[in-house]
Amino acid sequence: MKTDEREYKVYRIDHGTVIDHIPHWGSLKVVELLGLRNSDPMVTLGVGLQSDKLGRKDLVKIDLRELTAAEVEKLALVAPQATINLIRGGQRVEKLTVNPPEHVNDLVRCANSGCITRHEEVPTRFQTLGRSPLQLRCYYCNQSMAGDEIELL
Amino acid sequence: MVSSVSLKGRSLVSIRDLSLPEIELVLDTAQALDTTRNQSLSNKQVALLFYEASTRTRNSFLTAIHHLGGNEAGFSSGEGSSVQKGESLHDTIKMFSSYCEAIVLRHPRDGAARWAADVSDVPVINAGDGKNQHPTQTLLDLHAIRATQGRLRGLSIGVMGDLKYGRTVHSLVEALGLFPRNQLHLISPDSLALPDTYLRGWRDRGLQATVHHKLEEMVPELDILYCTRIQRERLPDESEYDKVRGMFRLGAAHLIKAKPTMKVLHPLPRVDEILTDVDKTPHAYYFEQAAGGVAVRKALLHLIMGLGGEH
Repeated sequence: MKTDEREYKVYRIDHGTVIDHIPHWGSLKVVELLGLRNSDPMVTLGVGLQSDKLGRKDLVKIDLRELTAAEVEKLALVAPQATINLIRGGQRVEKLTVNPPEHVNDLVRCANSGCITRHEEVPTRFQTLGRSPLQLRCYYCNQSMAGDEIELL
Repeated sequence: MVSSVSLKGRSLVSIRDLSLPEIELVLDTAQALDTTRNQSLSNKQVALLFYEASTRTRNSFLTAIHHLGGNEAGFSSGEGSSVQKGESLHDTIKMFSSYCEAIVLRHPRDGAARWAADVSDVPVINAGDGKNQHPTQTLLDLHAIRATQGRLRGLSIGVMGDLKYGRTVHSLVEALGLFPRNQLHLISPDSLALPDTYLRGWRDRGLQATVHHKLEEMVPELDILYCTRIQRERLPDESEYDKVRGMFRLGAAHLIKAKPTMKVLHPLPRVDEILTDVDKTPHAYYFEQAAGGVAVRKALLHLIMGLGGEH
């Protein structure tokens, strides 16, 4: 009996965005960061795929949606090595790599539990010190944080 | 000195907010004002907002305000104030900045002073925010160094104790790194060594920093020995604390080979890291150092509030 293979395959998208080279399990953070739960598109997650570059990696396909420049910048916070493929008419028309912004405002929380931003309603502000690995310094308490210490608000 | 350097209307949150000429302006003004009393702050009000207890810092600001003929408002330890009712720092700062000409803030949270300075309509002077910054302490340390050595450049400065967590040490090291030809000598338990980030400025300017393991080997070189307290909770266990405490305790016997002009400084309070027999030597300067805090804070209020112009 012939199995309907479609059930088991990842859908090909004709128009939208494929975010590749996300760290393993990082796809869930990408969903949060881009607010995909609050929007309508069909989203396909690939978790733990084999990758030469990362060992295991995640992948997120978003149907019928293109990212803004600001969203591409934000992605660097959770997936610093991500590549972003823009798909139109079934073809990849553009491939972007992410680049962390010089300043990260109101997106991540300070890792320092004694920081004023953790105790009062203060919009967080960070300066990017290093890009690989991503390293941020808090504008208020001057503490720096990197890698896994960086948590989205 | 004729210069365009001015601090009028500026907040002081971190020593890094000040350039070398601006630090010199504060110290020149402190030297000029010294024990002077005048009325330059009359009809002006400075808010002293102390969210945690402080003896020296609060009283030296209070004395500075009174020496300049000003009035103070505010609270100490947050008791009996709207703070206890749960008012945010944002709202407290907004309120005080509407009827005071400057705010002096001591707060237990790191970064509170930067937030306050951004919110406030008047200058904010950081009197210590958590374990982050305490720039007026650094200015009074520099004031003491200049008063005893006549300069802030070409000096050999030893720093001893908890160099990892000591907030006053970090700011002092950064500030001294702005001045040419200084040499730094560091001595601490390995687990409390100075984080490399504070030496970045020194390296960029080609200045020397040497790590020592014996106090005796560095003492003869020094113009200044800055001591800090090693706190029990910073070390893994009691036996390590006892060992370290004995090694980093300064006594008069350590100072036999010191230069006659060498001075010992300490941000105070000391516990037993400087033995009392040092007090009687000509090297002890920590009490005079603390006393200079009034002149430095007068100078800051004077400059930030634009009283009587720059000199």
